[in-house]
Order: sequence, then C-alpha cells, then structure tokens
Amino acid sequence: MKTPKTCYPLVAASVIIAGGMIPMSFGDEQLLVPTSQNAPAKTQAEADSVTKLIQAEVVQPLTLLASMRNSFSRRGPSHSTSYHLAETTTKGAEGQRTFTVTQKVMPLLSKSKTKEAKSSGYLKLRHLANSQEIQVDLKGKWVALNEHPVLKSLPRLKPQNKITP
Amino acid sequence: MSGIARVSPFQRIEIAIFYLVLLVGTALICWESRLYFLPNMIHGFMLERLELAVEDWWRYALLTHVAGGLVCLVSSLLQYSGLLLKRATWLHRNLGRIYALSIITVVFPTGVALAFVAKGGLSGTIGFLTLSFATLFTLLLGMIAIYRKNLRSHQIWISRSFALVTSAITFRALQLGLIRLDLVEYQKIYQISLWASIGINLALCEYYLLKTTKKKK
Repeated sequence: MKTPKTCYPLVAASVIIAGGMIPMSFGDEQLLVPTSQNAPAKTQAEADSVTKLIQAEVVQPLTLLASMRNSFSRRGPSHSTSYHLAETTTKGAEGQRTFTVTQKVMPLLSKSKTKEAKSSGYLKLRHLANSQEIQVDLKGKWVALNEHPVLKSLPRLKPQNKITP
Repeated sequence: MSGIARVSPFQRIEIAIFYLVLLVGTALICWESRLYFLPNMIHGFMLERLELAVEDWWRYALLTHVAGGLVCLVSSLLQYSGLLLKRATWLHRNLGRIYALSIITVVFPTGVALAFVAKGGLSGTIGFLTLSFATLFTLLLGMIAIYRKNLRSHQIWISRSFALVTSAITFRALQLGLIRLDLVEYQKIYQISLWASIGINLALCEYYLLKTTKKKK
C-alpha cells in the first residue's frame, strides 16, 4: 500500500491544521487543580512545634519538588508553584488540629488570562495530639502520611535545627 | 527488492542531525522520568494531578506507561543503523520485538486509559487517542509486512510508527519553544504542541521515506 508522494505534504498539513483548529473550537481548557471541600483557612498557622513539624514533613518537601520540575517535562517552565500552610481548627475539636495546605500556581506567561496566582486548597491535614501523628484526608478518610499512596514518597529533608540535649 | 537508495553527503548531515536530536531527546526524557522511579521522590506531574494520583489505576497506568515508553524509545535508537542491519541483523530483529511488545502490551493500552483523563481537556483526549491508535495501527502493519518479507513496506510503516512514538520528544521541544516565545496562553500551547508534534514528525517521516526511495525506472 503506497501513498502517492504528492499527498505527503497534504497529509501532514491536514493533521497540523486540524489539530490547531480543535483547541480553538472547543474553547479554553482549565488546568486541573485539586480542590478541597473544607472551609477556607481561618487563621495563619502559628509557628509552634506542630506547624513546624508539618512544614518540615509536608510543605517543604512539596516546595522542593515543585522547584525541581524541569523544562523538558510535559508541563515545561510555564508556571511556578508554591505551597502555604494555614490552620483551620474549629472550636470544640479537642485533641486534634486541622490544617489546609494551599497551592498557589502562578502562570509565567504574559498571555495567560489570569495574571495573578491561582490559589486553591490542595491538602487537608490534621494533627492528633495523643499520638503526635499527621494525617491526610484521602477521599474523605483520614490516613497517616506514610499510608497515603502518593505523599508517602515525599522526600525526607534533613532537620534544620539540631536538637541538643 | 529493497527500496533503499545510496546515501548522499547531504543526507549524511541530515542523518547526523536526526541521531543528535533522537539521542539528546531520549536522554532528556529518561532523565526527566527518573523521579517516577526513585525512592522518596515524587514526579511533579503526580503532584500536579494529585486527585488522580491517589487513584491506584491511574498511578499504575502512568508508571507502566512511562516505563514502557522508555523501553520503546531506547530499543529504537539503533534500528536505523545500517551497520547494525549488516553486521547484526539478529540484534535488529530482537530490538524490534522489544519495541513492538512494549507498544502492544504496555504503551498502547495505558496510553488509551490515560487519554481519557489527559490534560488539555477534550482536545488533549482526542489527540492522545489518535496518537495511541495510529501508533498501534502503523506498528501492526509494519509487523505484517516483515512477516510477509516485504522489506520496503516494513520500512515505511515502522518508520511512521517510530515517528509517532518520538512525537514525545518533538512535543517537549515545541512546548519549550512556544513558552519561550510567549505568544499564546499555556492551555493553547499544550494543545498546539500535541497536535503539531504529530504533524511535524509524520511530515519529516514522509520526507525521509521519499528521499530513501529508489526511483523506479
């Protein structure tokens, strides 16, 4: 089976033009950003031992991984991402404190429709006082950090401050 | 019998550029993909799509798709080497089998599954589905051709399959270029890069096939 040679450029041009028309026909597509159903953060997390722990275990590794996204990936250098921790503990919640990690995605392209960073709830966390455990909301169920299918692989960063006896 | 013509000096330069782009592109993709498989590391794509990444089927499909794709790319690096074809035909055949098996058993099925939740919305889904089915279709025709000892037809169809597989390299290069040019927003860049990478690779493939065809008397 042999395609006529004169058709080669036509085939290629047809594919490119058709592919170029499709995005314009179906409108803008939104980047998927995970959303949280929790209430928005009420208070900025104070720098106590619990928040420091969550910063070290979750936020800093996420920030490190976000900075590692290289240019030759499917996303390319199109956005910069940062993560921020805020406490959302409600009154009456004894023995546990809840937090939200917010993801801020800042488009780097001048043609982006949204010039400002897009913030959204990214993770819901809670800290249990009795077990000193950090748990993550996984589809409505609380699981330990090391049981989360993705976050269990977060890199373990070296502690910045040495604990002296 | 074979439709392969002698290579001119100009074609040697083209071949050199082809191998340079192929090797550098494959190496970069392999380097980029290491985060999928290193312990205590998460690839940024999984973090970007965390809602999907927590689903076991998506995570396993993505990891096997990446692994299969890397095997496919690496196994195809030497397939156009004239020296290999002359001195070690058995290696060409076995690398070809690895290439075909990786596409049929891993890359194609996982590619189809992932296409339905691909970035770029409907345009992205259609693009990746087109790429998946076209890659499989051209590969199968290439395999049928070689089983029938039709070398020219095998060369034609496998080249098209290879062009579609290596659109992953062209996609990334195009996307980088378009981001640097900063002419349109990112969503359009992603979709344009996807479709243009398929078109450009197929066009270059047809150009190669045209140039290597011996003129019939």
